[in-house]
Amino acid sequence: MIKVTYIDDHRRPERNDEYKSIIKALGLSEDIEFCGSVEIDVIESLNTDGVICHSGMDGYKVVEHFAKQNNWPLLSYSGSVSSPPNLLQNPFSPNIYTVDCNYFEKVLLEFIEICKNKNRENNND
Amino acid sequence: MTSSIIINQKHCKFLFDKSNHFNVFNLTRLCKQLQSPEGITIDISRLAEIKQQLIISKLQYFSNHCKKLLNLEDKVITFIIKLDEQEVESLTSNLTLETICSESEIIFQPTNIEVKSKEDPHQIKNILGAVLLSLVHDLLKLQKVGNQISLFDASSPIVLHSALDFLHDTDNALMMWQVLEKWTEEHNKSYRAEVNPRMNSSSNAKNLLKQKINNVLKNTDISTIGFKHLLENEAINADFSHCDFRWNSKITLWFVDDQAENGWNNLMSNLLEGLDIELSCNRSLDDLNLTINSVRKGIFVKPDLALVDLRLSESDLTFESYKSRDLSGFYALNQLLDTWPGLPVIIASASNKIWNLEKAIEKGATGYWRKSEDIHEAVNHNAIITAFDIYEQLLDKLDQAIAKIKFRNIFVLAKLVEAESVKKKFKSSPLERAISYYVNDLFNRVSWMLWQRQNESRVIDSLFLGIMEIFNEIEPYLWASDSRELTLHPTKNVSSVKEKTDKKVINDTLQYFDEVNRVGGKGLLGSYETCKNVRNNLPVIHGSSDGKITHSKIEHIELGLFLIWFLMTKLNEISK
Repeated sequence: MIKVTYIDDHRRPERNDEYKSIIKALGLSEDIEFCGSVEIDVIESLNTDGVICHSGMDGYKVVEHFAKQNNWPLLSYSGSVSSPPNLLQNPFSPNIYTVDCNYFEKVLLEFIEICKNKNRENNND
Repeated sequence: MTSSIIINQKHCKFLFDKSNHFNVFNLTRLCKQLQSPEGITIDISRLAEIKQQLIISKLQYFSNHCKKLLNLEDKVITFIIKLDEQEVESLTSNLTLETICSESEIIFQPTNIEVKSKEDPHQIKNILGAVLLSLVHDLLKLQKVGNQISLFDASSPIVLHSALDFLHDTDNALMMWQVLEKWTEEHNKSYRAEVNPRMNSSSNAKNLLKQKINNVLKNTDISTIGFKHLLENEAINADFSHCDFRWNSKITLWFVDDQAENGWNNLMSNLLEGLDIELSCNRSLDDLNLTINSVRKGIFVKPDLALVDLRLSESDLTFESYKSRDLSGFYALNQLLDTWPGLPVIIASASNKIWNLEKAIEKGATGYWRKSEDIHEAVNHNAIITAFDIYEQLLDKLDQAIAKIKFRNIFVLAKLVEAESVKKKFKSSPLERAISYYVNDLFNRVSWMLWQRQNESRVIDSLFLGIMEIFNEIEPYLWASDSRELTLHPTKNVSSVKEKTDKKVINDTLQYFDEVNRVGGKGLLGSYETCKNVRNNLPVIHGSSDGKITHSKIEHIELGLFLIWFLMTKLNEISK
């Protein structure tokens, strides 16, 4: 059992709702919890196996910072026109994955699998 | 003429940037040579799967470009691919484009359906400038344009990857297409002769800026600060240790722009390539607030300078056309300067509204960079020259900002002195007023010096003289005029020279602290004597009779401010 955190992008509440429906439809409600704040104390205190957020939202840098520090896999979906349709691993920060927001549904299960593997690795350590 | 092209490994550097982002404009450039009454075929099946997927996911943009740039409206475009059929279906299902797909082919016709990300004409104009800046970036890498230049094949050195996000937009792509076509026609007529000198001057300006950055990093380091010799003493260092004078080994530039993720971050990173500048993005006022709080909590490093876009919110559009209220960029400027007074902040905007420039000056910005000029559809070679102008303006504004960074230790020290001056002992005193006036004057003078490009030496001299005047104001606190006792060393009376008119209050006090702290070398007293000597040799004091005139330096102001801070903290300590 893992726990991945989806962090709301306050600029686009309708997209949060859409993604939450996707999460439910894919049967991932048990694996993903939702977080409505990007305050430093909140993000710092997350006990999570991975995080999901928009790469252009307020507080992205804070999320990215703690993801790097705690080695959380981070799925950063992006609205940028050049973003990829599949999970693209950041060559400099291997725990960060980017995807075009239009392909969120397509990559979500793969990302959850990455989080599960990471969780298993951590437990074995 | 052929009607098909095979894309393979040799095209990859032209089609994908180093982060593997696909440049749809460049695929269009490769297809310029293709002609057929029916349509064209592009074989990408030899590329790695991930690259084929990237291309397919952007076909709607390619379709738009085919129509507008290649005049292939209603022709048949066939992509030969080699991918799992399910994968193809999942990729194409998100396209706003009708396609016929199989595991080996995708077929479509460019139609009128266009993907427009920005309808705002201001935004488009803004981005046209950005696209041209990427051309400058490529040209500077090239160093020199020879007799021939290839612009529509994979060997072209003009890859435009730093603007690849912007080039998904057909208007931007069309403008650049026209620039490249015109260039191909007129390369040897006028372009080469005009572009090469601009490449030289921009390249020189960038090298000069690089040197200045290196110097400022070296000269504002704590190891070179004007009072570093005093910090070698353990007791003095302990007093000072809570003051934060640590700077980064690179210049940290906070880039505040709501469009950072939509191509501006990529463009700016490329334009600043090779300079010791690290870019850190903030996307909105809220985001900026969060980052400032993160610095306070020690998560992020403080900025050395900031580049703030004037419009950080869609609502700014309403206010842009008249002077009714501040645009959001000015709020960001206020936030930054309230947190770090003296921080060099450059306002970036495509706006040509004069009141925005006036407000930028009024609110304490260091520079105003017009990141785009009016570049109309009738593109000629002036567009490239204009792009060089925009780029050199950026370097110029950064140069101004770097010049301000030289003063950063002084700004911090001045605020430390000011903080001591508002404590109970000095509250509402002439000393507090003198310091408040000095600090205000310091920030204004340095800002104004940069806007007016004034002679730095004169400003530094004047700021240094201000320090010496503060010493005069502090003197009465250091002794009791009736008993002649030193305040900080009551068992000793102040010595005097010249019939008791010239008292050595500060000298005696500093000498006392040199003794109790066992300060070696020049010590506090020697440092004060240095300040007095510097003052006596300033042109404004000494005149120009015997060649002894020397200007003061930033390190002398640092030294003077440190001594004032030291004396004031000691006076505040005994009054507790």
